[in-house]
Amino acid sequence: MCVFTCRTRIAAVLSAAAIALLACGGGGGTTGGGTKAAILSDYSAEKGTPGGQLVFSDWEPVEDLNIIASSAATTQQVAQGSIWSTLWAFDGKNKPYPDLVADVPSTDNGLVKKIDDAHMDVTIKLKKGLKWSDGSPLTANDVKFTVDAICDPDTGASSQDGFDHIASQEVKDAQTLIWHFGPNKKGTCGLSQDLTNGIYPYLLMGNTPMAPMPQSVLGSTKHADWARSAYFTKKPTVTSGPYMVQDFTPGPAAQVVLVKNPHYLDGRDGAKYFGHAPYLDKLIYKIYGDKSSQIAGLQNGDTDLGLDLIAADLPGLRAISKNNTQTAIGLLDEFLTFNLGNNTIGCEAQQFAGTCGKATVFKDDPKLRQALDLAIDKDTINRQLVQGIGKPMNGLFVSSLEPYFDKSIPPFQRDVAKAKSLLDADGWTVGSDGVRTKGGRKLEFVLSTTSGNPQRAAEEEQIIASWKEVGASVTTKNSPAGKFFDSFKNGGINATGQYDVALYANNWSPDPNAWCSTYVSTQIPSPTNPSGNNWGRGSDPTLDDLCKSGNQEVDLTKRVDIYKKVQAEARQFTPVSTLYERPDVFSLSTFFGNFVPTVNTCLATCNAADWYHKGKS
Amino acid sequence: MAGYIARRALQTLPTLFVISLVLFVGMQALPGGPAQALAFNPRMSEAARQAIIHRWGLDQPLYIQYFKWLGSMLRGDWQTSFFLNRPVRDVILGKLPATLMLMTTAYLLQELIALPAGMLAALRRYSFFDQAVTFVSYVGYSMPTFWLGLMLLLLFAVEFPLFPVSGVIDIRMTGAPFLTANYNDWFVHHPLDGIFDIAHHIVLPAMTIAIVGIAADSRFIRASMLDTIHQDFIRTARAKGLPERLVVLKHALRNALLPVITQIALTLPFLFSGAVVTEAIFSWPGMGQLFFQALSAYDYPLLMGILLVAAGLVVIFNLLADIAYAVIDPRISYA
Repeated sequence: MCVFTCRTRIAAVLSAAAIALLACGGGGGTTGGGTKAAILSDYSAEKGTPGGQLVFSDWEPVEDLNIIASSAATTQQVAQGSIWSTLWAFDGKNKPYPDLVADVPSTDNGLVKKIDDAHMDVTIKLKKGLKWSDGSPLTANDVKFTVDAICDPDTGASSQDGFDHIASQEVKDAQTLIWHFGPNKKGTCGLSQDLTNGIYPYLLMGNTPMAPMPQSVLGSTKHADWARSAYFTKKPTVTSGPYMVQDFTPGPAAQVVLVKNPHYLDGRDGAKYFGHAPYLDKLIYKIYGDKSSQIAGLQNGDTDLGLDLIAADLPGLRAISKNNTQTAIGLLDEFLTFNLGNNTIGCEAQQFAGTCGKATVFKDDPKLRQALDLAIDKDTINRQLVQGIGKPMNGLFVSSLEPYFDKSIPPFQRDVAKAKSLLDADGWTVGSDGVRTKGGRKLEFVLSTTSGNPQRAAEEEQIIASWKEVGASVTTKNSPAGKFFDSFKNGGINATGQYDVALYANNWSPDPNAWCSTYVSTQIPSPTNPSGNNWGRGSDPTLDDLCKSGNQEVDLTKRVDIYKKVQAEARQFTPVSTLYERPDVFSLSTFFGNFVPTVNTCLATCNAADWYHKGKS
Repeated sequence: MAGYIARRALQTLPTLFVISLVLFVGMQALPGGPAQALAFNPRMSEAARQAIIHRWGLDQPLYIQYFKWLGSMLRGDWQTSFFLNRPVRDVILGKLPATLMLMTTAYLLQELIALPAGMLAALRRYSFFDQAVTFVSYVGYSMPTFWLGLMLLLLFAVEFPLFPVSGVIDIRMTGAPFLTANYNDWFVHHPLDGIFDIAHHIVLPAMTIAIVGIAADSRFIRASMLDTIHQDFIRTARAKGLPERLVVLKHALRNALLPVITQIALTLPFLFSGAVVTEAIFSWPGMGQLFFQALSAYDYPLLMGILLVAAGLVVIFNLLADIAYAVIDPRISYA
């Protein structure tokens, strides 16, 4: 249940209204219904052999199988792609590929139409002949039914992002559903205020790939009762994924036994993606009591695939001769957020966004922020603390955010001399104690992160040592994750600005505007906007304008151009110092076929339909 | 005696009521709460968050929450776990068999070794055997459970894979989790395989729990036995010319067992609670891990269920210990 700090596969994204229309532009041929290959995934799986069973594992509990309401990675990784198929999925490069839909909607294939600056239509065209595991047809009505449920707060959906931009749904036929995006009134689909613009990056609805639910089973259950229904807590009887639940025991040491769905191939035969029956006789998901036990299980052959592993586990995992260790970087990065407003420690709750508190040294001083970014020894942090498998960052976006990541940005190069000269030019003079001063104020501040996290503590030490070299005196003040990430209303450290500079991670969305919106001035948290995402409180009119333009732009080429400008502006404004792209680690048996290490909202289990046991050939 | 039992049974009711009240208030005093988990998800709408809080009943005053819980319990409804979304009673009953199996095995193992070892150590005071038991006891007692468990796991399940790494059964063989309908069906058709499979899995976790317990109990029994064998009535028995076997087993042991019974009675309720660390290391699907998860997640109904059952068992076993005193020691009468 953690968000920013730990699990890489939870869809914890600060996404707001944005647009990721798959527009014209770019080269490449066409696939499926004509969507440009440059945008669509080039994922392909090798043909597997039927039979056998595989065991994949984690070490955190599985509470239930509620794919709609649970934000726990364990639930999502057994549910997504295995038990329920999704409309579309994302590959390791964050490119979409169709699953239940015949083609991923785009402007190019005509399934996305911009009506005006506030309205657009997205047509969901399902494959013909799809069936639920009980043999009943899976139709557009099921998709509509699921969207209605997600939008009802009683369901407790883990995210209504994007669905709250749908003004109405129109079922055209059994396979066709049109989502009419447009302005919505406050209260619709959980909206806390009126929505004036319905444009949204529809690929990210709910921020995780959307899985339709069977109306025939859940239609008679009140939305408020979904969470406690046997369908989600004991055994989903009718499902759409390659496997069905045979048994599920929840909690710690949970186990889920999955068997083949006899109707999975209906409507899919010959499709480019997942156009085959599931290969395995059984797929078992097993939860260990802790990570040491999981690694022992990998060593002993008790489990064939270990998920939820990190760089620190690598030495032990590499010693397992019969396993392959794979790593992947994706949308997760570790970064420092400079507080560009006031440090509000000691302020009353209602004053958090006002003039209360003391301006931090970073406020109105981009040169200082640039110098501090330049001074950090990111290579050493990556090498020593992330086993060298992360990637030091030199800009706002991670490198896998294709096609928006600006490849012309050079790799990060630490430059202490340049950092010092920037500070000198900015008026920060070195005092007799080695600490710089400007206008009578010393370069002293506090670095904050989550307490009880040895990795973060080690990073703090490295960063403080780096900054000391350029004349900054830094101390630390850490808080439990619950307090650190708590909401504005509950006095969360970040949300209310009770810090100077904060260190944490985030698993971002595959769309650049989700990142952009985190730094625009309209997202600064306040009593009237408590859910604002801009915890750094930076306000840069140029960045505001660029992000707004990106949000409104349909043409992909122009959009890419805008977000390259966003990256350039962010390098100047420096609201954050990005440290490194954080890797995920996977350990799997040599006979585990078609595993794709993926670190994004789709998780590494999205292609479970393609998994097979190589020893069964 | 019957009157005494009835009186004590009636006394347990207000005791349990007070315990439940203290537990309920105590849980609320913990920093954080179940809603904190929802606050961690910035994408969940406030409306959805409030709907869940309402479903959990946390939007009501504390005293109403308590009396609603109490009313439910009196009706036999243990309420629903916040995070597992299943009835608390079902969740506890689902985890109880594995815990009882592990803890009973470990406890029997512990007492079968500790009782004779402690007794013999006392009878042969300062002998090599006594010194050896003392040494082994101190070593065993000073080993942290998590370290001992991990060492046993790495040594006997990874380096020399004589025993399984995790769980209560081999799911690859059974094809279904422990005690599910499919498992039970499999077990009926493969009883010997099933028994051997469980026995194979229980060795390491049971040893982990027992080793520490043997160390403690053998010292306790030794001390109790030493106290007894130096009493006048033992000297009298020997002076009467009774065989040493009778002196030890009939007179000394019976009296030495009185404090041991107290200790056993107080220990038995914890068989229900499971062993958090050992269950985590061996991925044992029992109460210990469940309690830890409930505590971490602030799952109030589940916590209340587990704690109240544990408290109830403590009260009941105390009563049973008192009754056992009367049975073993004729000087004690509750009439």
